[in-house]
Amino acid sequence: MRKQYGALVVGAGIGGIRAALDLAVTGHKVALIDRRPSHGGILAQLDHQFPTDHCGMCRMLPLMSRDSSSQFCLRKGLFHDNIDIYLSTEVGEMEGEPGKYLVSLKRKSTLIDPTKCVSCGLCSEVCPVRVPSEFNAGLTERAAVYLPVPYAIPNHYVIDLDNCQRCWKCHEACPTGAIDFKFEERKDFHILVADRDPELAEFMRGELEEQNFPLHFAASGQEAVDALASDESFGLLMIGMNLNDMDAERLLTRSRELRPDLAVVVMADKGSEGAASDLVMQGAREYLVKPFKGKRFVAWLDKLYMRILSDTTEELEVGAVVLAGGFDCYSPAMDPEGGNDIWAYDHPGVLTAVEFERLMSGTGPTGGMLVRPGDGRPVKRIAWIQCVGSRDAQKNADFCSGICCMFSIKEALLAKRLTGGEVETSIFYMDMRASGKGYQRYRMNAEKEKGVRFVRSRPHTIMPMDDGHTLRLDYLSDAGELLSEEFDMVVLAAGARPPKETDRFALTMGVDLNQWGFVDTQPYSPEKTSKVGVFAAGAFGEPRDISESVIQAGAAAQAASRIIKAYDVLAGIETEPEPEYPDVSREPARTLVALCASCPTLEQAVDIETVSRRMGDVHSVCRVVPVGGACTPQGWKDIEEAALEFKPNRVLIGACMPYAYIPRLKELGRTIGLNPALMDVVDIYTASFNTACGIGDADCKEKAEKEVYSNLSTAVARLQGADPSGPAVTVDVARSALVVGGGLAGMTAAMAIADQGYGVCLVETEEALGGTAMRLHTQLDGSDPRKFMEELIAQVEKHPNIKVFTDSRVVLSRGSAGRFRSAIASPRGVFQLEHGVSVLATGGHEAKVYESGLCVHKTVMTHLALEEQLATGQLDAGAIKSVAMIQCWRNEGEERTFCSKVCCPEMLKNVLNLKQRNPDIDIYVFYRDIMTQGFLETYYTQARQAGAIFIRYDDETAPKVTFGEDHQPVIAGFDPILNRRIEIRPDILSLSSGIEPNDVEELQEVFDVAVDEDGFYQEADFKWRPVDFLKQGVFACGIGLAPRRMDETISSAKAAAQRALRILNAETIARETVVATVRHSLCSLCQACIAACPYGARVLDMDQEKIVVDEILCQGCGSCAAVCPNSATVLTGFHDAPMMSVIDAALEEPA
Amino acid sequence: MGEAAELLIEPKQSELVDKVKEMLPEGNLNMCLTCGACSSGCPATGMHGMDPRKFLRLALLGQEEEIRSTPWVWLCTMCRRCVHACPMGVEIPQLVYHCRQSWPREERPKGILGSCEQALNTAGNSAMGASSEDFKFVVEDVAEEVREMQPGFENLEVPIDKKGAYYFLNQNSREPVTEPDEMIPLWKILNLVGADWTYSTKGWAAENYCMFLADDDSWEKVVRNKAQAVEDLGCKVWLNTE
Repeated sequence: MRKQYGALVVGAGIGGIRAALDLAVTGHKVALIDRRPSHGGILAQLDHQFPTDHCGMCRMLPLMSRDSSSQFCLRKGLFHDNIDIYLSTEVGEMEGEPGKYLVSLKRKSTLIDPTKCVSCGLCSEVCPVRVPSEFNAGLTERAAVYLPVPYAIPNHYVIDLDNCQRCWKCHEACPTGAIDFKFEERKDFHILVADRDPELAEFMRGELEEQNFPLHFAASGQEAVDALASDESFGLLMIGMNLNDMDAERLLTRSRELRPDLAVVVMADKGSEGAASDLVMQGAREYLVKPFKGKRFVAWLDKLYMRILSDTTEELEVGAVVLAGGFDCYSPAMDPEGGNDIWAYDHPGVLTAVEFERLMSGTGPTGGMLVRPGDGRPVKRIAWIQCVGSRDAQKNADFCSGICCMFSIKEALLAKRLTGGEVETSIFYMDMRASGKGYQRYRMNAEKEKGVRFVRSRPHTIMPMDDGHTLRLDYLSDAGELLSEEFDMVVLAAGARPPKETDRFALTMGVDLNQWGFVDTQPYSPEKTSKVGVFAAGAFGEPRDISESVIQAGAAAQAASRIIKAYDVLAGIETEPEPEYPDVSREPARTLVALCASCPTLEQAVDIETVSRRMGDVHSVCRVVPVGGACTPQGWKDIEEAALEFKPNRVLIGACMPYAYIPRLKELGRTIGLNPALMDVVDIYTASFNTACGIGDADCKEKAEKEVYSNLSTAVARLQGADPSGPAVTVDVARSALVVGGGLAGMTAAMAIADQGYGVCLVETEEALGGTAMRLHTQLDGSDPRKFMEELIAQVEKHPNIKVFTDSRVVLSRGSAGRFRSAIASPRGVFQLEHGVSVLATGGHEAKVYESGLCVHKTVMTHLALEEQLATGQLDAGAIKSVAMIQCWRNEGEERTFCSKVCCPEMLKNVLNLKQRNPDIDIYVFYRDIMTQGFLETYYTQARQAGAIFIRYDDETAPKVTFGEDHQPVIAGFDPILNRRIEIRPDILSLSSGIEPNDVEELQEVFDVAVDEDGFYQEADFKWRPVDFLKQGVFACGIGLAPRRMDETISSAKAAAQRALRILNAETIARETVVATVRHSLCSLCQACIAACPYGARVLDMDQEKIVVDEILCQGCGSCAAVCPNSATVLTGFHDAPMMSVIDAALEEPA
Repeated sequence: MGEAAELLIEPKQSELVDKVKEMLPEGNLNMCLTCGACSSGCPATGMHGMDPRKFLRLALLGQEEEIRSTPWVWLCTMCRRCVHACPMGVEIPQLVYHCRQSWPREERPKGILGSCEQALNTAGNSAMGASSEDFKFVVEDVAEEVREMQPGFENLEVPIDKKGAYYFLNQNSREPVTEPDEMIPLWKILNLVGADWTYSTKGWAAENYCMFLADDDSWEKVVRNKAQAVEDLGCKVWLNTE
């Protein structure tokens, strides 16, 4: 029976998690898989992210129906009712079509039973193997049995079979028998060897004597086929390529017919590897080249045997597929010279960026101390070298990784912070690509306030000095002098590469790759791959930073849910209604304590009877029942029966791995009619192996018993104070949306929402739909933006669920998520509208240019105007000899500290357009930093290839424009390469003026939302909630949020729509279990809580002189309660008195 | 900006540069990112106020007189460090080479010119002008000394003109002329590993200054003479130690 899911998400990094959560909260079942044994992707290794330089991943957790998901650090673990996570799992095969893909997952066994492993670590201690640790980027070593991530929840040891020496020590050391190398089953694992060579048979008999595998030999193909047709059970077929009567291919085919599931290995002769690998393509598992060497052969066969017996496959049926494979980090070791020719990569002072991040981490090799990992030497001067492995045509990387500039600045700031500003930091760069929202400001702050040095120069080589300590960098100064400096550490800002084996993966999934090996995506739909129903999220389609990856994942989730809806994948699947529980708040607490005592580690460390007796004396405990294995069906049944018998109104279970019980508690709640919020599971096992007592060590035993007792009694006290009752605040959701702004973003969001069957009211202030994108005529990728926009407008206007109001504005909006009431002023009068969500897509416009003779001289225009004149034929490129362009044009005295992001691609478009029409045209571009992240870089390369000359300028050397005869512009600039003035007299001067957000002063008030200092909408969290406002139910997208190109605008609109759909899909929004309330009699209205609330859930009601909490916005984090000087703010279930008794219980001596 | 900033350039077209561009794969010279990696690693950076990046920039801006006239082109050692580290693989050495070619032969640096002439005028193609007889004499003399003086190398062989040897070994002619002992270590290695090798009296010199002179015809002539020498002895592999 295939498991059914709405979607399969491949890759459990940040993109995959976002996409999975987005789908899960809208009610879709999701299978989230990753080939690694841990979730979190590269984020598991990074502790700090700009701009806050903290983490913040938990902000992605669901804001509504919080109880359906884990509510703790997302880097540690993720649980959601609708998400099944499969780790160490890859897609084996996929067939079918959108709406019904049949997927076969290959699940690699970790050889350790997660239901038995108690994470004590004894296995790892005895393992003799040491290999580089993936988690610490190779800076430390790990054993072959290890924890992939030290802080994950759940955290079970895994066996890396490839590096295992088969000494079986871990198996002997494991106290719970969790490690299974399949010793017993060997005698039933029959191996059929089809080979003509009698020596091979002899060799195998001799070598495999100890393994106990029953061996069967067939000297001819027919013999082998006969054996396969018999009743004998076989675990493995080995085919030689020397059979007289039948070639290997034929035998393979016959075996596939007779025993489709039988593993087949080809024994190739030297020289026939090609034919053997063809057989692998036809279904053989692998091939081995003769002659075999005893020891190696036995180890190989033994491991293969364990894989065959332990690995499993899982058959799924899914509606849509989201690919979130992320990227691999480039490493100089990938080069033929191993990066030692110019990067001295084997020197202890040379690190890649990921290695440096690990060095800065508390869980890293030095515990977060800034010393050289190789030799422990102190670090006083660090250099970063940008674009290592990116923007490098010699390494097939004619693209910009887009993330390195920012992470290098962040790393420099972290190093500064760690050393109190003492460490000297220098970043050697080509262009500083700080084009995201607020990035430029972050960079300025690093340079001006924090003393990070930026050097625009690329060193040729890292020269290790003879003393073995320092590293010398030679580089050109701005003045063209060759300078030499020594550093203690050099960090290579190594960029992104497609994950390894992406080509094979693409073949399995049936999607195309682009020329750089990333998955190919469609114009105007960056989430679409070449296969319908299969989408790209995160950085899998193009290197992206966290914020963009999160947006891209939202877009992919939106596209996937559209497929799920369109093909009605979920038809017939009913969701269970939330059960109602009796209110027990007025009853005295009666706690049932069940102690699981089935594992030997606990028995060794504590005396269960003593603990049970003591627990029986704790206040409110009505009964203590020992159970044998709470994790087994029988154990759980015992707990259930005890609960039915004693009718407690609190249930506490002492066991291992509490998180594993979350779904079971919900079930138990239904059975015994008790709210799961009144139940808890505490870990009583970790204490037992933390204190690992020797036999007869009474002191040690007492210590462990005390800890177990303390854990349990604390939990009893906590349960006593739990209060899940209270008035049920629910909002009946008005299931339609208001979208403000009829440009590309607004229309895309409207379509996405309307396609899911909800009504959309689209309000546009102009007389026609379209917005700024209508000014584009061509695109760099050759697509036709006008055609796309015209089709989109037609679709919007025809859509039965969309009502368009042009020449209109929203004048009023009141209410909260799920139910807003708004008023729209249109030429036909004022309309009232009830809606569940609002999407603000108010866009931006080309900044005005007042100077440089624009409007006075026909020879001067903006890039957009130049594009138009070329497209309409108003300007004949053949008649022009030369064109000058000035990027980042500012009017006198005008300051702008953000990058408009669209102007560099716009400039390149014009350059390539002009050069295509007239290759002889001379083009000169004055620029500050060329901002062509990702694959846009290739157009920059093309523009240079075509002969355009790029001249860098800064504040002091900005080009000046005057005019000669016939309006001819004269541009006086400065070429920093030659250190000389340069004068250009072009026929045309084209200026890039940048983007400004449209004025939203009125809308800010209407929707109660904020803008940042540049006038763009202020999102809830730049990285983790990039399209949300703090105010729930209101979302932003497009240029109004930040400058964006068309593709990025579309992604943000789809991501915003997906967030909105989460609310619209719910019929009601229920109050959460844990929210804050205010005891007004104690409140002094100091408003400290308002500032402390990270969710903007609190306001001061001036009329009533009260602090009011929006119970839907409140996430129950408790920040308000912590800052309140009067204990006037309280969190349900966390009142002062119960909290005090919890603390008392923790400190109390056992009776 | 400094004083140099008073100089003004007006970009224009350059025939020489266009010619070089035509000989290279599409857009190669244009691809420069002006990152400076080339100049950071060039041993000739700063000499005559020039460096590889600046040189290329002058070319791209069509400043033909400057790139034709700067003596800096003769300081380039053709080591190709610039191309090795260049993210765009820009062929600066090719540009330098063609600029050298644009110089009248007689105006090219005397040292290089003289060395090329000597190579053309000797059977061994020795830039030092060493004759084949002298070369043979020095080699045999030094080898004899080693056999007599250095224990363990009593049977050291240094074959000359040995027909059918597997390796044909060239020898930079500076060693036999000025530092004959420098040749010994390689002989020892070849003897210890039992290599089947030979020197030749024809085309024995490893260096080729005609290449550095950017004199293609003479360069070719020298190479052809050496190749003929290899063929005459019927050797399989030509080892050039330069």
